[in-house]
Amino acid sequence: MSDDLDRCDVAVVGAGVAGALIAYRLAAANYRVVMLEAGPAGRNRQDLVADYSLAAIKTPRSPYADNQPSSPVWSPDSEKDYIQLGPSPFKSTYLRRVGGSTWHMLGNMPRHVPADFRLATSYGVGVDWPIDYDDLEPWYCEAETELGVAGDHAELNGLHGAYRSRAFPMSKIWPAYGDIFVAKAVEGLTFEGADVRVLTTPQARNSRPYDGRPACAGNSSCVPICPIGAKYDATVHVSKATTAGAVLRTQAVVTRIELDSMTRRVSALRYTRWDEQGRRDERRLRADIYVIAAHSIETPRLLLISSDSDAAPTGVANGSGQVGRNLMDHLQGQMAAVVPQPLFPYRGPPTTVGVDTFRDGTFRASHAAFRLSIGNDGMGRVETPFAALEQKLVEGLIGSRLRVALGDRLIRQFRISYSTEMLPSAHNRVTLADAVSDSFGMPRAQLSLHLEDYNRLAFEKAAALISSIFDRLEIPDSDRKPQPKDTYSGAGHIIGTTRMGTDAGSSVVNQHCRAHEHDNLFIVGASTFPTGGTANPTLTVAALALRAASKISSLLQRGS
Amino acid sequence: MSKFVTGYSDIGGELEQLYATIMSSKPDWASELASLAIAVDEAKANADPEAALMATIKQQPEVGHAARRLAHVWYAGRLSAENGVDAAFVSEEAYFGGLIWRAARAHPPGLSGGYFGHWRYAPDV
Repeated sequence: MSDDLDRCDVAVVGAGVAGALIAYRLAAANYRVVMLEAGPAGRNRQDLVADYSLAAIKTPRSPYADNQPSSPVWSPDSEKDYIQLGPSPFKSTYLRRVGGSTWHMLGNMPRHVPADFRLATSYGVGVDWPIDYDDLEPWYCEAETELGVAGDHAELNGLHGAYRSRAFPMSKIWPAYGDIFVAKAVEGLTFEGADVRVLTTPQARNSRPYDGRPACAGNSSCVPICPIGAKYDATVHVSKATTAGAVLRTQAVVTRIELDSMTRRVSALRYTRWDEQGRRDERRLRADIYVIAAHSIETPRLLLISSDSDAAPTGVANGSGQVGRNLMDHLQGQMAAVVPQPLFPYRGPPTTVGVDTFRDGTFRASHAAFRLSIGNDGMGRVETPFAALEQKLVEGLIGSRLRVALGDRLIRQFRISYSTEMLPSAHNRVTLADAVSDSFGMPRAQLSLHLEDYNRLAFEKAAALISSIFDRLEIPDSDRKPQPKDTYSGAGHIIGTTRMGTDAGSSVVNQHCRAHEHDNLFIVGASTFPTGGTANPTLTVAALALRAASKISSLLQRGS
Repeated sequence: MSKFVTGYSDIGGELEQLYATIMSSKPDWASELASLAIAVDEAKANADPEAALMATIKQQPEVGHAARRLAHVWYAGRLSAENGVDAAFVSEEAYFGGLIWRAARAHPPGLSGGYFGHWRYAPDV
């Protein structure tokens, strides 16, 4: 396919996991596909790792020099990089580059459980999805194969009713030394009448060579970068898509979705190609089907920016007024400790096991479901190894005494984190900051978030559960570092903002991620989730994208 | 002096030269380093040289400054934070060669040098 094509079968906005999978599947089916990616393709992985090694703080964005503030597509790296309307801060970030935020994701790939799709019916809170677990199960299997998910089929088959019709393509990532110790310590533990079991976490990192990528070597830097590509990132499917014939246009920022005022179908994408010398080139791309896959902040931003006085007065696909609403994350906290026994952290993936017991239950009527991650990275943010070093130096230690005392501290550092589900809420939202534009003259996004009692109560429950695990580990109170009350961090799971549903009056897309109002427009990604569940969202994003690709293919075959 | 202050006897090479330059990159740092050198020589005459140096550190702030600075750069691969701002790592090699990871019996994030599943077992050393 020629790169200067201005017409194709399918135009995909965003070369992250959702866009790349759709581009790959449709290009492999011989459709003419063009991907427009706002960010750069970037340098090779070794150079990114070198920049990571030099970064003073190893933030998610730290390896990606071309997403720093000097870039026209700079990506947020902390809550301070957003325009926040409050009252609570939104803390999760994303990456605008080929491969998208999968570059700095952790890589956990749990499935949603059946009740996650029926929250309103089951517990009287939130909303139901227009699909259920049965609808998505075959696509979960496909997604696990495409991404390369390592997991323990027997252990996870049937978790909260989440049956598995196919084994994982790879056996599980081995638990860490400390994980095995903790799992044994909690044997027989119950909390609020439920058995507390430590289960292995399914992960998109290779437990053997798979799909041309090596097995995980335990480099422990999954966030923000896997140095050897053992962890999946969406460059895998961008590459497969282009090999299959798709065209990738990088540094191509879509500035407007144009509509036909009569049919209300999308008629073109207007976009700007940019380069490092400041040159800008305005272009237009036409397609039969358009797919917006720009993640949960850029997608609603583009839809709102593209308002059209005739065909979409409040924004593209926004007749329901739901575009930008229901912004969610998995609000997290952690309890850290110094354990009496050595657990030898800082080796292997940052987490390989967790407690999934409270991902479902009748308690969801009153407080959030939550998942625990058993950490394998010391005390996380509570006390870094560098902070421990400073402390030992302040104590006046030197030489072998410093080496031994510091080592003794580091091998016993430990944390367990919890991740809680947020309910969808109309007043948690992305809107346009009309007075503040980016370097393309487009209004920036602004975010509103409210911390609810539904999460506060879950924070308390999760902390109490972790305390009971710490009791089993015989950790003295003086060596425990709890999360300050009502504080949280982001999980990097940006969800909601273009939710799916059956009712065009209360949702943005239908069960196939097709916009209710514009029948040649698909919107994919975590933005379509009506509720967030407690699963890291990428596997569900991938499953929904593959399902949408199938629908798009059938539409193209029918010529509609 | 680096070996004495860090407690690791097998360090040296290019990092030692690099850190020597840094340790003398300001006049007062060079002066403090000279004081540390004297203190280390004197400490070695004691039955417990480390304890002797730690006692000197308490009594002579300039020796303490240099000892902490030298130990910190070897362990962390960078100098201490100043005014709450973390220092940049001296070089890629400095980050990956930080003794802090050896003390933890682990490896620097980003470079394990290990094989699949090594994290399942207690470290070898």
